[in-house]
Amino acid sequence: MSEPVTFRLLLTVLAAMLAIPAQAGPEEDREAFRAFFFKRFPDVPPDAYADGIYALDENARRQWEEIEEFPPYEFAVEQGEALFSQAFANGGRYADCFENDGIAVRQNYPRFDPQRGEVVTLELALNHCRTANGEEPYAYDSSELIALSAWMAWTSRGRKIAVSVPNDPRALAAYEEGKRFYYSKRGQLNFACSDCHVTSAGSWVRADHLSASLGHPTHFPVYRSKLGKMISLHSRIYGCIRDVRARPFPEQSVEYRNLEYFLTYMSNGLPANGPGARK
Amino acid sequence: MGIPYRLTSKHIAAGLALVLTTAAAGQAGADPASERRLESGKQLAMARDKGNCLACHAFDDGELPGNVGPPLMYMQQRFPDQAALYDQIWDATARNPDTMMPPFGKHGILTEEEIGLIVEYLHSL
Amino acid sequence: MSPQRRAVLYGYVLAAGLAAVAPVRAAEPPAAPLDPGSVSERIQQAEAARRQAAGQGAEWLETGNLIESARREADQGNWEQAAALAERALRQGELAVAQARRESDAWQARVVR
Repeated sequence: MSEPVTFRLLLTVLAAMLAIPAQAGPEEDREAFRAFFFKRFPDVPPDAYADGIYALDENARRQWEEIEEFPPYEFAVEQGEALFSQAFANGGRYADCFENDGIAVRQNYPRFDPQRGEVVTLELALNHCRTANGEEPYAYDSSELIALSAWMAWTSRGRKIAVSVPNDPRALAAYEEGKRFYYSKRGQLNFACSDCHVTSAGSWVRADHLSASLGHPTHFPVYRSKLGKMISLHSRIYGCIRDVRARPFPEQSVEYRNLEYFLTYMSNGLPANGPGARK
Repeated sequence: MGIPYRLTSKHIAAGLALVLTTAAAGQAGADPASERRLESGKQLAMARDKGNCLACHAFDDGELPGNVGPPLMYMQQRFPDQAALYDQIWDATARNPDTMMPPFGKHGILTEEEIGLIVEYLHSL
Repeated sequence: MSPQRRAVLYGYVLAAGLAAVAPVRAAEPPAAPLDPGSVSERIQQAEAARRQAAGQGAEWLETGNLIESARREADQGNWEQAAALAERALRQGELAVAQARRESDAWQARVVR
């Protein structure tokens, strides 16, 4: 074997070794995640996952479509628009805190903030905006904050979810933490998020149909009929964690923000379609 | 940690042998005490705050059962040994760490007595 | 197996439809002597286990309430109830810690690939 050939062979081997990632990156994860559901539910069109359980359940979908004719979240959207356009006491505006004046940016959240070194959700960004302008932050379950989030979601309808994990080890670590949370069994009942929403997605738990995690975060905040009010994504996650009999974390805890980061990255490419309506 | 509160197969088998002897001797089903036990087992299996087995399994006349796990039928054929059924309910993760099934006994969701009653009832299906 | 466990076992075997078994007599466990000091020590152990679980993000839903109830019962001198509640809380705390330890590796097997 001549020397250049040996050298080239060596290079090829090295390149092949480098091409095998020690750990799958976010993009490999996302592709595998999508592929899993596409294989499980071959008749469901990819974008339909943004509709949550209504992608999988024809009967429930019909009822939902009827609800959507008079959307129960409409009031929140209107309230949110009014709040959003109000100037703060110092003359500042929400619009000044966001790209594109805050219109059609929801699909980019949550995002990794390199200054803060952590994941910033839309709700957190709204409260940062308030405190930067000398206002008190809203409680995370306040109707005002949820209304602002509903309005911003409304302006992003139809945009593709586009969460990015920048080339920053802290961003990747946050993503990995969210991923670990998602796949870890917890609580007295010993359930992982993935047990119900990957492994058993599409199955029934008594009268409840288990939704796919692909598309979970695209439509929040949602109006929940059984509660008669709008709720945030974190409030929904809180309910799930409590139901597996684990002690829930508070809304906007670093745990839930990282989880949202992972979960929303998995839904990249799906249409943002918040706010939503759910049972 | 070694929490020593687990019935071993040996114990159950001993109990089972006796139960079977009794059953063979004089139809256990007809005995009112045993009927009552089966009824308690059924209630524990169905109650949402107890076994809540219907969440994932169809069985008996339970309404709106889930289908995460297999229907609970032909239980004597599937679990000739009641002890194996007891073990499965006590801690299904021992056989399969990724199972969906909560470790009812190990995690203190149900007591030994409650699982015993549920096992007797399920075995009658 | 502790005397209590043995009692439950025998109860189970007995109730399973067999009355005439001799060892059943052994089912009466001697009442464990309870002193306030050991109960409050048990509550402290439960609280330490709960904190350890919480530190790993693995605390269970009702452990804190169990400990609170144990303290309330102890304050009222209901040592037996307090001890039982503390025992349950301690077991939950230990199980949650064990769960977190298991999951520190086990979660990776569930990742969709």
